[in-house]
Amino acid sequence: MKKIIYIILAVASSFLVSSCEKIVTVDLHSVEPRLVIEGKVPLNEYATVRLTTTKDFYSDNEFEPILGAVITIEADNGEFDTLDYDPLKKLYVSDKIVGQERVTYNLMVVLDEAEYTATSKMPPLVPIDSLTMDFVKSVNTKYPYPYVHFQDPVGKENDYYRHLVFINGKKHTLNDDAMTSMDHSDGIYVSRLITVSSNDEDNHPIKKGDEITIEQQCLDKSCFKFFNTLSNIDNSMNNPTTNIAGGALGYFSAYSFTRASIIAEW
Amino acid sequence: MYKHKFLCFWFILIALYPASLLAQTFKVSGTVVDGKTKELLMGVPILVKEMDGTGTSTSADGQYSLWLEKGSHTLSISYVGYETKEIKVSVTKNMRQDVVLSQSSISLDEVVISTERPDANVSAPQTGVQKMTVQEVMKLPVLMGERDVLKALQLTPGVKAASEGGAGFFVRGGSSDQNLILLDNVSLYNASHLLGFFSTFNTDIVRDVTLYKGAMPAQYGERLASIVDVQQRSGDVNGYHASGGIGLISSNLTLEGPIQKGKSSFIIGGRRTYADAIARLSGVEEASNAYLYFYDLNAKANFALTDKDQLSFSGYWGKDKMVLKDFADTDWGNLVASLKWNHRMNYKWSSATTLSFNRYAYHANADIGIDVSVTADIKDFGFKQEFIYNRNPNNEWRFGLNSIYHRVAPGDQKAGTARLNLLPRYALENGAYVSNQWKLTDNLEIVYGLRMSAFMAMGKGEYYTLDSEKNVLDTTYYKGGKVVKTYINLEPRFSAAYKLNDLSSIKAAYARTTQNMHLLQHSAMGTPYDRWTMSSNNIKPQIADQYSLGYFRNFDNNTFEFSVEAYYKDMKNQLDFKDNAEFGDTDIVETELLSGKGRAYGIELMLKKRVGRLTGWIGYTLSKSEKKIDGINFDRWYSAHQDRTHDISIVGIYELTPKWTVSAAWVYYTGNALTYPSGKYQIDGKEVMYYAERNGYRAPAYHRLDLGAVHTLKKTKKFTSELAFSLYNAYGRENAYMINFRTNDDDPTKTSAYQYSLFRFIPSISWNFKF
Repeated sequence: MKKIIYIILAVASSFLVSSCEKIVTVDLHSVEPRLVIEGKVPLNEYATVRLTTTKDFYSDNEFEPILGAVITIEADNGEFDTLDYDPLKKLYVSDKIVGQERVTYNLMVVLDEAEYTATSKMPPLVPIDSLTMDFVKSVNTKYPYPYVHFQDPVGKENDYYRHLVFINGKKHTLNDDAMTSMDHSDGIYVSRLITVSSNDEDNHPIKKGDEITIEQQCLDKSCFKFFNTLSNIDNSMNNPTTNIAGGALGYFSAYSFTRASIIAEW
Repeated sequence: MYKHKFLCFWFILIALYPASLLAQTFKVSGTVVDGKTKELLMGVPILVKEMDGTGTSTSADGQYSLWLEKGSHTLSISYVGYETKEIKVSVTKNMRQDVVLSQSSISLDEVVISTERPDANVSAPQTGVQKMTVQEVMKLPVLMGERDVLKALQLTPGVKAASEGGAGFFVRGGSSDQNLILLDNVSLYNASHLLGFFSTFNTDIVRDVTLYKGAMPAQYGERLASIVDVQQRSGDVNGYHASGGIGLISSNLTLEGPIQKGKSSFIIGGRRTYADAIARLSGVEEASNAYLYFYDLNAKANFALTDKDQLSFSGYWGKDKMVLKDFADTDWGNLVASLKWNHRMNYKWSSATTLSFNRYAYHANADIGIDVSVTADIKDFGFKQEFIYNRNPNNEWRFGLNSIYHRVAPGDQKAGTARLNLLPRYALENGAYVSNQWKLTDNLEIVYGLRMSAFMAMGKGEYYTLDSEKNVLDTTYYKGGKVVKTYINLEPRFSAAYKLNDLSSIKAAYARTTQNMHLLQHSAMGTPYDRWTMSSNNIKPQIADQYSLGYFRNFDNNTFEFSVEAYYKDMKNQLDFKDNAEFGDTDIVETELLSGKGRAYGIELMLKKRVGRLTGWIGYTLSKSEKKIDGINFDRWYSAHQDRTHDISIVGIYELTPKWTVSAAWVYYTGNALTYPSGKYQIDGKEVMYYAERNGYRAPAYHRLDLGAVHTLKKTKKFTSELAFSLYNAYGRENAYMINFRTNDDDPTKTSAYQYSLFRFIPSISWNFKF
C-alpha cells in the first residue's frame, strides 16, 4: 500500500525532476565478493541451483558461474539427490528431484569449507482463472496492462503469489515482479494489475499484437519475503531478506506455478 | 565575649533593616507600544541616561521594569524603525510610565540588523540562540519569490537545510523530527510546503522567530535538538491596513485593523502559489495536467478586556495539494488554533493561560484501475499555564505547567474493496517547570531551571508485549483513558554568560531534553506521509544531554559580532528501522524498530556585520553526528543520515542607493551520509545492488548562489511599494537530488549511476505593497 504513495510521489516529483538526469561516476568501495545462491524447485520440473558471486559495480554484467560446490537437496518425502554441474545450462541440476506440492525441501551447499542451508515448502498450485487487458491512466496518457484473475483458496497454505511477465516469449526484467500477499484478505477473488514498466516514456513495452504471458507462482512465506524486500530495494537500501543461512545472498524457492497467455489487443 | 555580642547585634540590625531603606529605589514599569498600531513591542532597549550601564529591555509582552532611586531620571528609548524618545521621570514612589514610540518616516542611514540589546552578542545570558526579526528576513535575497523565516535560519551556523526538495532541517546533528516548531506556542508537525521549498510562515504575519539550538530554558521541552518559536504579530487597534505581494510563483495579502477602536484588533493573511509557474520554470510539458500548489491562512485577534487582561486568539490553516488530472491527487496540511489569556496581577506577577488545538492530516487517492486511498492524521489538545514573577530587575522567575493530549492515527487505507484501518494511539504529554533568570553581578548572568516531563501512553488501543527478538508475544487491549506506561524524566537546564569585559564574554550551557514523539522516516528523503509514533511500553523516550561552550566578541563599537561555540551532545534511545523493516501496512511498527545511542559534536563560527551599508555574515560549522544501534551496520558506529562535515553560509546585503538594495547568499555543504551499493549481483537474470555499509558514503557536495535585488518604488507614511527580484541557483549548479543505481538504460551489459537534480536558474519577480 505504501507503494501506491511512492508511485504518486514519484510521478508527481518526476515532472519536477525530469529536466536533469545524467550519468555520473561515483567512487564506490570494493568489497569481498559474496556468494549468491538461486535455488529453485519448480512444480513438475527438476530442481536447479545457480551459483554466482557479487561483483564491483563498474564491472560488466557477466556473472560467471561458481564451480566445485557440493550441492544436495533432501525432501521430506524421502527423496535425496546430489546436483551435478551442467556446463551448457551453467547450473547445478538434479536428475532425480522433481517438484511436488506440499513437500518440504532442504538445500545444502558446501563450498570452500563453508556451509549454506535453506528450507522451502511448496504450496499447492492455484490456477489462473483468466487474463484480460485494460488501460491504466497515467499523467498524460494511458498504458495497456494485463490483469490476472484468480481465486485465492481459503486457508494459509497458499497466501503468497509472485507474477512474472513474458512479452513474446522473453522475460521482461525491467520492473520488479508483482508480489501479492493474502495475509489480510484470505480467500477472496483477486483481479490484480500487472504493471510493465519502461525506461523510455515514448516506447511502451507492450504493443498491439504482442503475446503476453503471465506466470503465476505460489511461494512460501520466506520466499515471498525475499522477493518482496527485493522489490523495495531502491527505498530500503538493504539486502533482501534471504531464507538461506550461512551468509550467502539469494533464495531457495520451492514453488508451484502456472502460465496463461493473451494477445495484447484493444 | 563582648566581641561576639557586638557582632550579633550588627548582624540582627542588618538583617532586619528593610531593604528599601538601604537605598531608596522604586519600581518604574510600563509598556512600550507602537504609536500607530498600538502593538506592544518586545526587545526594546530602555536606558537611563544619567546612569551609564543601567537599562533593560521589554519582555515578550511589551513590558519593562526598572528600579530607580528617588529623584529625576531620563529614560532613553532607541529602537530601529522608530524615532528615539527621551522621557523625564520624577521618581518618588513605585510608578507606571508607558512609552509610545512613533515610526520613523525617513529610512535610516544605518540599518541595525539586531533589535536586541546592541551588545546582545556578548551580554545575553542564554547561549545557542539565534533570533531574527522580520526586518532582518526582509533584507535577505528572496528565495523563489518568498522571504522565509525558516530558510533564513538555515543560513546560520548549526542549522542545516535537509536537502533540496526535502522538508525539515537539522540542528546540531539532530534529525528533522527533533525540532519543535511553534506558531504562537502551538506546535506544527509539518512546517513546510511543497516538499520543503517554502515554510508555513507567511512573513507578513510573523513578528519574530527565535531558535534555541538545544540549550533551551526550562519552559521549553518535548524535542531534543531545537525549539523554533515563531510569534505572529497583532493587528493595529487604530486603523486599517493592507499589505501584500503579487509574484511569479506566489501571491499573498494581509489585512488588519481594529475590531473595536483602541481596544481590539484583528489580522488576517493568506498566501497561494501557482503550479504552472513552477512547472514552466522546470521546462516540463506534462504540466498541463498537473497541479501543484499550496495555500495558507493566518489569523489573529486581540482583545484588551481590562487594563490588566488581554485575550488573544491565533489560528493557522494551510494545505498542500498535488493533482495529476484523472490519475491521482494528494494533499496534506495543518490546522492550528489557540486562545490565550494574559493577566497582570500586579507589578511583580503576571500569568498566561492557553488552550490550543492542532491537527495535521494527509490524504492520497489514486485511480489506477481500482481506487486506492490513504488517510491519516494527528490531533493534539493542549493546555498551558505560566506565571512570571519579576522579583527585581535582576531576577525573574517563571513557573508553569503544560499538558497535551495526543491522538495519532497512522491511517485508513483502501484498495478497491480491501480495507486496512491502522489503530490510533493516545497519550498525555505533560511538563512542569521552574526557571530563573538572574543577573548576579554586572559580569555574570545565568538562566537555570528544572523541567519535569511526564509522558503517559494511554488507551484506548492495543499494546504489544515483545520478546528479545521483537516478536509479538502478547496483545493487550486497554480501555479509553487507562494509562499503559508512564515515563518521568527530570531535565535540568543551565546557561551562563560571563562578561570578560564590555566587548567579550564566555558562555556555557548544559541541558537535558527528552522527546516522546518520534517520526519514522523510511527513505532518505522525508515525505509528508512519514509516520509519527509515540513512546510506549516498547519505545522509550529519547534523551539528550548537551554541553556547550562559546566565546563571543564584538568589534568596532558593536559593528561586528564574532562568536565561536562548541557543543557535544550525547543521546540515548535513538531509533532506526531494522534492515528491511516493514511499515505502513502494519499496526505493529515497534517490531520494526531498533534503538541505541547517538552522539553529535561540532564547532560553529560566525562573523556578523550588523551596521553600515554592507551588512551580512559568514557562518561555518564543522560537525559530526553518528549512531550506534545493535542490529545495524554490524553493531558499529555509523554516520547518521544528517551528518554533514562542513557547512558554510555567506550572506551579504548592500544598500546600493536609498532605493536599491542588492543581496547575495552562497551556501556550501558536504553531502549527507547515504547508503550506496558496494557491488552488484543477479537474481533471475536481473542486476541487483549489493549493500555492505549503512550510510557509508556521502552525497556529492552541494553549493548554490542566490542573488536578490529590491527596488523601492514608493515610500511615504501611507503607502510603500517595492519590486523584488531574485535568482535562485544563479550559476545553475546541478546539485544531486537523488542518485539511482541501475542497469544502464541503453547498454544492458553494464550498470550505471544516474544523478537527478532539481532546479537551476529560477528567477522570480514580485511586487510588494503596504498601506
